[in-house]
Amino acid sequence: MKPNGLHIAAAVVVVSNVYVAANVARNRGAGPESELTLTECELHMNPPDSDNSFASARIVAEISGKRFDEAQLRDLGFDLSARHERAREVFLALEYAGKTWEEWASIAPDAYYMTGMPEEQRIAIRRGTNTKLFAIDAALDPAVLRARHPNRRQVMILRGRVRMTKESASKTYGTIDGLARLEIDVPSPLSKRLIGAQPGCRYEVGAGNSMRIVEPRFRVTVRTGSRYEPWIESLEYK
Amino acid sequence: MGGDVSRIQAQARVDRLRVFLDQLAELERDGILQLTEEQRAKVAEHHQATVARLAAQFDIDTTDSERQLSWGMRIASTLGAVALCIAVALFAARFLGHLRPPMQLAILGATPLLLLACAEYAARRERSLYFTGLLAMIAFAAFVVDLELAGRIFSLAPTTNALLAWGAFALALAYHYSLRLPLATGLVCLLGWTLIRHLYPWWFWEEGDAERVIVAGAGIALAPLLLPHGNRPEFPAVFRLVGWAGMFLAFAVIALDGRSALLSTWDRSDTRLVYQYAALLVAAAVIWLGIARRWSETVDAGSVAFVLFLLIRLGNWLWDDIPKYLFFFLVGAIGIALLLVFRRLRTRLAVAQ
Repeated sequence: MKPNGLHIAAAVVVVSNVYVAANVARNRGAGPESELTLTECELHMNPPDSDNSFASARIVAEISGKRFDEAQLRDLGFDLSARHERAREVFLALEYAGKTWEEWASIAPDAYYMTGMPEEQRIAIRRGTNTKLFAIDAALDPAVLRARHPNRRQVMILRGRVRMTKESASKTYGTIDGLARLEIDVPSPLSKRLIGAQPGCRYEVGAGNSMRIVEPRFRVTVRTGSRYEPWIESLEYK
Repeated sequence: MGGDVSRIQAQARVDRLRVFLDQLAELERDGILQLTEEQRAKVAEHHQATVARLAAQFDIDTTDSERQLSWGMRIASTLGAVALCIAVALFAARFLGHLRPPMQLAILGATPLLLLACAEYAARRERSLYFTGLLAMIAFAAFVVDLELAGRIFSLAPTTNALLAWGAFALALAYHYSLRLPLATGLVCLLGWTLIRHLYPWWFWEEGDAERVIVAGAGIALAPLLLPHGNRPEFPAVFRLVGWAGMFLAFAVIALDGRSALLSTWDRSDTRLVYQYAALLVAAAVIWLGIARRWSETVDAGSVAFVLFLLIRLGNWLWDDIPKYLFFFLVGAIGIALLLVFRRLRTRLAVAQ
């Protein structure tokens, strides 16, 4: 039988789905590359609703503060002499509750809505209601990144993009554009546990300006595989 | 499926016959030609027999009211296709999340295949291909939902190759059934593939993106010169419309934004100026090409682009320097001048055709 457009269209569907399945098998088949136990502070939960039966967890990572110097930018493949370079796809190391977070969390924030709060209270809010997942490094080769950060239970490697910025002729630095995927699917039946739950990882101000931190409700195990694509392995109420 | 070619040729023949009869009646009214009763009856008999034979064989419009109804059916099937495509996406979002991932992937992959089978079934049973076109577009939507949701469910690294797969799927269906909507959809996917370097959750327009689309748009518009569509005479116009639209949109982006990879060392205001003039020249060239090649849609696309870029240029020149009422008077005057020019061009095109 001579192949026609219908056969080609069907072949495109089959090949695309086989490719997807093969990549998923490759990612998850060889065991986890990293396994981190996170909370709602690092994963904002979007429970299913009447129109959308899919639940997702949005990764909340502190990436805006990370700056790459010129040597790091060269390692990431940027041409520093160019006036403008496109953002590059790289692998990012995200550390959970590590040294970078400790340093950040030890400084009392001075947001306007915290005016008048004692320093310890401000620090407590910062520690108890923000993400502990911080971008700490980037590389083109994930193996190099893993060699620099070998703790697979504290450092997760994900895909993302780094952009070069030329502030002046003598000052060039790199910043993180974002992660390749912001959301991780929460598969069924785990997704059903999210329905009706009140959000945690926040603080409430009560009578007489008393402050109470609402603890995260979930403990979520996130794994990444050989293709550095994450998935949720388990989700438990604390 | 070559049936549609014959349908188009049959429709053209019926249209020619109607024009001939109208002209004959006019000549008789003016006393230039007088047929005998016998000759008139023979012509009428031949006309009726030909129309009846073609109508029995193909789904063609033999009267003005039938033609209007056909347009209505085309609009209804296009609107229906768009609505059903949205329905497929919302249906998948509403129900698939309750299933386990392997089952989700199986259903997502099987749905476009099932819809392809339905489209083929419909194509074998109808002459007009309205339902076939509808089902082909729903199959396309199901395939988009398939790859998009699979990517989300398994947090796959985003890839623009999905656009390539969607484009290939739509083009394969367009050529199989000789359908214009899947053709335009497939070409837009290919343009998107040249434009978008990554399918991350955010996307910034960067230097070089627009230039790629200018080249790709021109390539798509001129592709029918290299790829003859002898048995699908309506396809080249779709190529040209999608190609020119993409190309001029990309020109507009640089002409307004001023970021260009080609002129990356220039100031953005200078880049804007260069691209505004370049767009005017290219639009004029496209109009000329349309006239020379008798491509009416190319003349239309070039004319619209020329007027738009002229307005952009005028705005940059004069908006801050002259009173606003004078600016719009000027725009109106230029509009009238262009109207006269285009009328002359139209006359030339009509003569050429």
